[in-house]
Amino acid sequence: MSIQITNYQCPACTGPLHFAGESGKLECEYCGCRYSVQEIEALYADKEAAAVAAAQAAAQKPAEGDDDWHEAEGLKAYTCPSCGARLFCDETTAATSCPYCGNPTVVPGQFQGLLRPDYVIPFKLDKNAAIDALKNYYKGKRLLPRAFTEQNHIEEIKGVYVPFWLFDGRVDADIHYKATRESSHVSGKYRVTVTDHFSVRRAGTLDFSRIPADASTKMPDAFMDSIEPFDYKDLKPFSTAYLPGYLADIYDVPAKEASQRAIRRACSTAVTQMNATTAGYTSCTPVNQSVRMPEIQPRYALLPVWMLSTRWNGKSYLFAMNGQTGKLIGDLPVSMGRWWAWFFGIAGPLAAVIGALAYFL
Amino acid sequence: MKKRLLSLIMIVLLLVLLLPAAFAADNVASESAEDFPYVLDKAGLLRDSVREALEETARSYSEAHHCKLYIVTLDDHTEFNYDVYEAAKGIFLHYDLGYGETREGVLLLLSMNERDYALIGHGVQGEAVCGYESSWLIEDAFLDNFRNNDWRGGFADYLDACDRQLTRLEDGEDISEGANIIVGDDGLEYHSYNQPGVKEKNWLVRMLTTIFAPLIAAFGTCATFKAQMKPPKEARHADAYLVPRSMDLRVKQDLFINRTETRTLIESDSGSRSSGGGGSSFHSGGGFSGRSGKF
Repeated sequence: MSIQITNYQCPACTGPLHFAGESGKLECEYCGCRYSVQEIEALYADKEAAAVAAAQAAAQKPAEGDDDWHEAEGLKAYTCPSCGARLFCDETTAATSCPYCGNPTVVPGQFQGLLRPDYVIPFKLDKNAAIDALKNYYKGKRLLPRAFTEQNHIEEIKGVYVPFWLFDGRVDADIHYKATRESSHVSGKYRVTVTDHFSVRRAGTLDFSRIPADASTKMPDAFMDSIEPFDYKDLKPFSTAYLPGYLADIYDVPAKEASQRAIRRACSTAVTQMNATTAGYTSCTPVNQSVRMPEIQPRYALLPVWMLSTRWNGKSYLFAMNGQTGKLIGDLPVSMGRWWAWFFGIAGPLAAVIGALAYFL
Repeated sequence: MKKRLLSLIMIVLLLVLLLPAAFAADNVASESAEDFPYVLDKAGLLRDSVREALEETARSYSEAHHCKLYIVTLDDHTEFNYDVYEAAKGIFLHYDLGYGETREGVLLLLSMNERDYALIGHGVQGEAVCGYESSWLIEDAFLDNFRNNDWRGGFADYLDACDRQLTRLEDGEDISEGANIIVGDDGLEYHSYNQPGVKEKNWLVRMLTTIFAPLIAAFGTCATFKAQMKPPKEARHADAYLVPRSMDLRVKQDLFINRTETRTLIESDSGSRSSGGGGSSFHSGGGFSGRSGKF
């Protein structure tokens, strides 16, 4: 059977290579040799081409033997080129590591044609930074159960290149407002308020660039939105050489579907911007508006995210950290005991002080 | 020669200063001192029937106590004196008001332009009922009415309060009893703490404040703590992805449609100065005692 996946191994010692965000190079875990992305691309161009050809051949042929039931469950079977073990991955998995030999593996066939990302932002922060960020995230959270910080342990931590659509587009907005401008003066014993009424119209266009929308059903939208923004200065043309050492998925949310979220966000901002041009009125209320984004251009990118999960009291808690900027977000449990303790701890003494003041003054 | 010239100048100056006051005082009432009414409504606050009823009440109380009770309303007291208290004194003295040799009397002056009032007492009884505590009790009776433009009620309450205090004085009672004067940070004295019902209301407000203010503060603090937990939220805007200076505003239209005008009667400032009473200050000396302030 042809090999559809590629292990990136050190040319010097054949040890596994992984992309290190700090150095921006691929590093060998054993001999410590470092290689630039371009060097590895050149070295592995043939292997990748072979893997792609194998993937295309496999796609044209019906599934063989005992792989049938796995394919039926939405899994794909690959053979690890290092140890020969059979790897079963999701249909969307594009980079993983062999559970037997630990070698980082990439499935180049997953990135062919329309599935090939335009850009990638390489990881800048490593696993330790993610762990530190999580510990810092707990700090200052007064309603977090003490036992949660003391007892819970990180169950899983993984660096994932999450597929994102980045949308460019122009919003066309045409908004009618009813506005008033008030002035007042005193005339004898009366305050006279003069109100001028206006019909206001604003129409124009606003350009948006690279509005992200995650393209993976595995990733919760709220988490991915909350770790924005990514710094697009670090966007690189896509190369599989950035993937070793991390997980990567291909998109399973089509651009058309994801664009609806981007359009909603862009239109909302456009309305806010248009409203800002009506300054100077005492009140300004939209009465009729047409806001649309007729043309939207998607770009496909892989963006770095550390996913951390912890378990406490039988419940899982998920956290996501921007692998480039370090911004972390997650679900935290709220201790109702602490909530009430704070509530009465504040209300009680305050009531005593106010009561004493009310009595004596 | 120089001395004579100086004296002449001083006399002329004195005449210039005194003449307007004399003319102004004559403007208050054309009547002689004997015919000066108990109720003189130059500001036109009262209907004739109401004024007559008040006149009758004032006459009745005045005769009963041998102490005349006056009401004077003006558009602007500054015609007489910039100080409303001095203006009231000026009117009392100019018309030689009061009862008997000691000119026993109490006068309430309302000046509408700046909503000023003065309450003055002259003579043994007049000074007594317009003493520090007693004058406070009398003005406590009418200030609320005036603040709400209830002229009839305010004047009636003033006459009743004077009658009550004069009766207590005649009965040898302590006319200062019941006064609970609150001095504000501004040095003025405030009302509403000893009015029947208001005291209970005030305690209710204090009790509710004691209960609810800490609860609201505690809830607000806990809500802030909960907000610190920062649950993930879907983004609603794309502000960070707006291309700078990309807005092309092709239509910017501001059409004037029409103009409307509304008139609102201005509430007096005193209404907001304390929980119900306007500030006042006490005066005594020169044969008078009393209070002045704003309503």
